[in-house]
Amino acid sequence: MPKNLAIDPKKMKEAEAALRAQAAKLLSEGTVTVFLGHEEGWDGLPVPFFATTAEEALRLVWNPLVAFNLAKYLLDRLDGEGNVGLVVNGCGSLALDRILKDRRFPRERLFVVGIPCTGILDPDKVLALPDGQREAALEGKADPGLYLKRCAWCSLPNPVVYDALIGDKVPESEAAPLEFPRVAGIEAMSREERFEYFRSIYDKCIRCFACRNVCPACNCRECCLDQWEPLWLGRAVVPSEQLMYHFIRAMDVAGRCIRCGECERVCSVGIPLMELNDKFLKDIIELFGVQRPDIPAEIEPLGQFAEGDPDLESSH
Amino acid sequence: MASNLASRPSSEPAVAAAAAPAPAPAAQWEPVIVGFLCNWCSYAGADTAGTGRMVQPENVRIIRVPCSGRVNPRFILRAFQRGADGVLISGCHPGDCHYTSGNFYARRRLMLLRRYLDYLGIDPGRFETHWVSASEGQKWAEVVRSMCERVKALGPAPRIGGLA
Repeated sequence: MPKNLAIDPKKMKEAEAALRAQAAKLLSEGTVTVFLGHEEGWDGLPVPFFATTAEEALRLVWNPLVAFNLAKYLLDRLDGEGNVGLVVNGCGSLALDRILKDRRFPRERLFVVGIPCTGILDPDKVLALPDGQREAALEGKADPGLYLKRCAWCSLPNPVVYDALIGDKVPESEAAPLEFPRVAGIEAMSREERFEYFRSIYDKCIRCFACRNVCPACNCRECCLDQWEPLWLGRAVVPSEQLMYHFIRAMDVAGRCIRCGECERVCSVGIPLMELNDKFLKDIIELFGVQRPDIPAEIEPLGQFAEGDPDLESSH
Repeated sequence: MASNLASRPSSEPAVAAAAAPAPAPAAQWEPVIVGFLCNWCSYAGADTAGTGRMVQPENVRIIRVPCSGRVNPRFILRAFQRGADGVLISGCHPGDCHYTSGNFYARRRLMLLRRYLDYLGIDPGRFETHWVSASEGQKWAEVVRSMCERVKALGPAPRIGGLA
């Protein structure tokens, strides 16, 4: 847990007020026709919300539980006119940057409101706490274990893309090299154990596609997993298709994964999906010398090559 | 999964068909190896081996692609899913790609895939990548011989349950 990340609910409350004012202004002046943010859902869980009037903008919230990735909703707004407003924190802006760098949404149609981040709590964990502990966590006394997993390796709490910034920038800790303890643990197993391990955990998949749908790197116009011709993914929910789904998806996002971990967080049956994506991140660092493959670059690692890349030829 | 729809040429059926197990009975199990060969160098190299009557096992089922850079990693996953015991990719030597840089992209992509297959529990001996040029018929025959030997020694690839 980086030292400078500790949720500051008072600051977030101030940011919330400024966000509401900013969004209301953008909507009433017609600068945007819709503003993507969060509103209070049931039981205190903030849920995605698309405000279209200044009155609706007053329902926007900004609190320690705003975990949902909003950038993906931009893909629903490609048709139609009018600009789109969006609120992002650090990781939210990385998701947005992924979509912009993949050239899936025009930057000029966006008005981005950035809010520097002091950490986000995992809503599932916090809302499951007994009342007294829940309040304490939301007031700032949160155990490191209550934060989103991605807060632990975050080095970019300040938005990388924004048109207006609410609040002061947070001092950024020095980027520590990425570590992949879970991947190392799996690599230490025998090959047979690994085969059995993946077969058994992916057997749980119910093919809800939440992981793909929430992923900012999964932004193809037509997903190969939806294609009928060719049928890359059979519809039957059987073990071999489960593995194909996840193995294909991990390969397709390799080099573009922003390590937000949303896939894992939203999985309806608790599959540790990042174990696949982290393997690619680890190998890209080792093989191609890219220090932070999780940060969107102009050209992603698999979209380029170097003369000095490791040679591929199998030995006889 | 037959389709009546008018379709653009797609590569998936070719991959699935090539990986389908050989018809029984055989005196001894023979591995099924699916090979993706680039049209300009490796496919021509395999042809050179053929016209030169070089002796080689018949276990490799060749799928011709325009370039090793066309090989999508999901072809390899699909081949293993559909019953291949080994997969072989062969392209032009780096620097000699007919499309200039296709094999450079392939190199990065397939390097990652090789490590990934091992991670998933598939023996890396089942996935081989080579650079074979159009005149290297001898090399091609040797690649095929040694790969068949290796995959034979490894035995049938592990199968995952399900309709595939």
